[in-house]
Amino acid sequence: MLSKLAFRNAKRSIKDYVIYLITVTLAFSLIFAFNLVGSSKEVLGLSDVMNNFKYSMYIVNVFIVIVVCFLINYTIKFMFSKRSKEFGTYMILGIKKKQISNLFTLENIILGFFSLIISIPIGYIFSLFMSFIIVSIFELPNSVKIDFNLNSVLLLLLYFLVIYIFVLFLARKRIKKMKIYDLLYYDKQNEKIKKSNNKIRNIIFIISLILGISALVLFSNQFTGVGQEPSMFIIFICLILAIISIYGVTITLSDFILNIVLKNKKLKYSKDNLFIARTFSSKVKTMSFTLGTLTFLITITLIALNISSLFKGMFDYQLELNSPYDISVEDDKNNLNNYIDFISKNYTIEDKLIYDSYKDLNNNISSSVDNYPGWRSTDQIIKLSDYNKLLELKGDKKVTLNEDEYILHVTKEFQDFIKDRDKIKGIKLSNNIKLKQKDFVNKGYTYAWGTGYGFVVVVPDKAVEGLEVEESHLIVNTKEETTEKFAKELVKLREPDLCEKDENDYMVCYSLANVRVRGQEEANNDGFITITSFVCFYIAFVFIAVTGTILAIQSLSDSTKYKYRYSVLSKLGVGDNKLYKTIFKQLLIFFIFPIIYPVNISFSVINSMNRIFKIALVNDTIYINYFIINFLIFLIIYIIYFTATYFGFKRNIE
Amino acid sequence: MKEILKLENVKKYYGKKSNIITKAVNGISFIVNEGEFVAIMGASGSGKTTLLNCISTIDDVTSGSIILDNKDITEIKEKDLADFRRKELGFIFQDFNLLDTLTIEENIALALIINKEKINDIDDKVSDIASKLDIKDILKKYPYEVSGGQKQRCACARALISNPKLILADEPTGALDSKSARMLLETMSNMNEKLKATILMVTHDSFSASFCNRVIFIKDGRIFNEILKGDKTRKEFFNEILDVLTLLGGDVSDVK
Repeated sequence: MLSKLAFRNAKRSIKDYVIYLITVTLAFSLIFAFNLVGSSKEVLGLSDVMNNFKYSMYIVNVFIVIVVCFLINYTIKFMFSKRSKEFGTYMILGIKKKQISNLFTLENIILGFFSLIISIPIGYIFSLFMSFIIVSIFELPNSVKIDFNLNSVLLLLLYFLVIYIFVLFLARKRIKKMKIYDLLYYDKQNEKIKKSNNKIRNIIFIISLILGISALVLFSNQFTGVGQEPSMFIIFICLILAIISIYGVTITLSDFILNIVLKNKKLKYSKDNLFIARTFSSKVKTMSFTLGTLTFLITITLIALNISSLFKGMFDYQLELNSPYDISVEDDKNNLNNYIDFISKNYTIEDKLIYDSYKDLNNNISSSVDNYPGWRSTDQIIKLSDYNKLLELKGDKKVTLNEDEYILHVTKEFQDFIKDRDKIKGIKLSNNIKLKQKDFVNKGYTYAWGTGYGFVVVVPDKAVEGLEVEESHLIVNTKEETTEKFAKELVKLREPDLCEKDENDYMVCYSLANVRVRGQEEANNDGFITITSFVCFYIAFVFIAVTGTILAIQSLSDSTKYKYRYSVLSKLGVGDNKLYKTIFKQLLIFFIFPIIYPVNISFSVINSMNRIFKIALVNDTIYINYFIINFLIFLIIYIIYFTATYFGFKRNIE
Repeated sequence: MKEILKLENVKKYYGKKSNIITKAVNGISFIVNEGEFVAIMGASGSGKTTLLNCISTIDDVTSGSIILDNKDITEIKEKDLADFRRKELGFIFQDFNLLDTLTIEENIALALIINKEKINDIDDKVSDIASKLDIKDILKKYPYEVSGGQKQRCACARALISNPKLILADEPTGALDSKSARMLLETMSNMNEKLKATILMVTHDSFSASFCNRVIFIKDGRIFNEILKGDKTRKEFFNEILDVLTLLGGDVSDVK
């Protein structure tokens, strides 16, 4: 009989508890999808460093499982509140609490398992979508095929078991504590009215705020600039302070605002302010802990999204710095044809440029810097016409020069080393030609123009007369995307020069920098960046889903309670349109409230981190763009949840 | 006559020590004998539902004892309460408390199924009680497919089927229209007279109360008065109840 009842209720619950099913299915689908991607052979095969990726995914999953536990625990509580009257009736009829507890457990296992089963195909579809995103974000050469592997299914099953054993254990404990009276009259319980002491509350609010600010300042002090390693211990302390502050502020802020509204008669009695402020405040009081947690999750989401962007920005910048062209080679002029032959065997050549770079023995530039970071002994000179072609192949605009002018193009780091910029306003080359500086460019430099300099001097074509050629360069853009494998073969053409045997008979290769292949840079250079970026993205995605779902569930589960309040408003003569407006406002405040603090915190954190990251980013303020874009991405997903909640709410009220 | 229920100085206070204490039930004592149909009347907030909740073990008492069939229910252990409720008590609620997922028949049979009675016995008992309460036609239907009056009669059948010592009813007519209410009260009266069920009913409606043998009036958590029907007609008894209510003061507007 018990199992029959459980089965029937579960079947009926499918209709009633769509929210529960969606929540659990969504959570498991996301976990499954990311695991599929993380364990896919093709993703792991992208480059050698990707193996670490697998392990970082395991660690992140532990974190995610904890959050999903929180989510499912919340949903089960919600379901329980909906069923409490029924359970009360069972108890009245003399069914033992233990049996009811078993019944509820069985039901949840049935529903959870059902969700688990659906989440496998849905998760697979998600993973395909995700692989598409990964390919486009990380500019990977080919599309990534995700293989459906049993390992991920087993892992998902393990997570399911861990989550459900824990969550159901909590649920059973809750039921054990409940009295029959609580069950029967659960839906009649009001939001708790805690008489809070205003003075204490204000003090808590201010202390929390101070704690938060000091955490941010402390954090900021850890990131003063490149070269100073942040102390993990202090960052940990910042984290603790920030968490305390988030909870403290969330719990007290609404009351703080309410007090202001209530004190000001004009504010209090205008429009529906009173109703909204009171409803909101009582709501925050009942679910202050949950809201605190949500605020914390949103903070992490925003920070994770932005860190993901910073790493992605670093990745892009590194790529442009090292290999903006598909293939670039420095070698003797005689050898260049060998490369061209080899390349054309593998790819279709779209553009090709062969040019020479010259030596300036006067070392005008390198002698004017402190601690010259390059290892060349002469300055690098290239002709304007070659420079323009190089710019063109990169997709940049051409420049012009008068006969007596030159351009100095440097890396971002290099500009800091120049001690006296006025001294190089006018230079004299080793062929005695005098040139004035027309431009000082610090954006868009690439090491593909010459390894070991950090700068290039661009002179009019005629000015190189009498200068010795340093080396010859080959730049090729191919139609197809280049690969890591091809790069390794191309390097072999130069092996005699690059590698030699040491005394122990080991082959030692000094540098591969003379041969650059974009495909290799993409695949290999920044595995760590890819991993971090992807993992942050994963965390952000799951957390947004968790936050949105909890807010939606919370609002929708309340809608029955609010039905009564709205019918009272309606009887007092508030029209339908006005009612909807009030509902809209009320939900909007409820959704916006947990974002306010995180936006401030995450911006401050990213601002601090940028001090270290900026050296490897296109420019110093790009992080603001990232922040805005990420916030918009977050908002879009958030707004979807909000809209769904609003319409669901409206339907429940009608 | 045999004593079924005996309350001795029952008190139920709400609120913590530091706060203001609400004395919902403040020292009530009375006795219900076997075969009686007793009403507890009072205005809203007088403590009548709290009292019923205490008797039905839904809520616990602050002090005093409630003795049902020689057992003090305030001393039964939590884990044995379920068994006790199942064997000794039947419930009828204002909002029916039927299970939506079960048919009327299954709802009635539920208590027997929990008692693990024989399947044939269950069927016989259900159809027997259903015909007595005139709900035989709707046995296969679900609660949401039948009227409020039918639902409440189903609840009566459920309460009766395990032959409890005492049936507790909390505003059973509260959610019914006057015709259904009258039918239900006649049914309950029948249950009392023909099936020998002992019923304790809480109500604020004097019409409902006039169907009982005895009415206990409660005010501010204490017994205010008690009247017996005796040989009076229902009409006379009704008028007598109205008189007491006038004396009782408070919200006479509640009275029909």
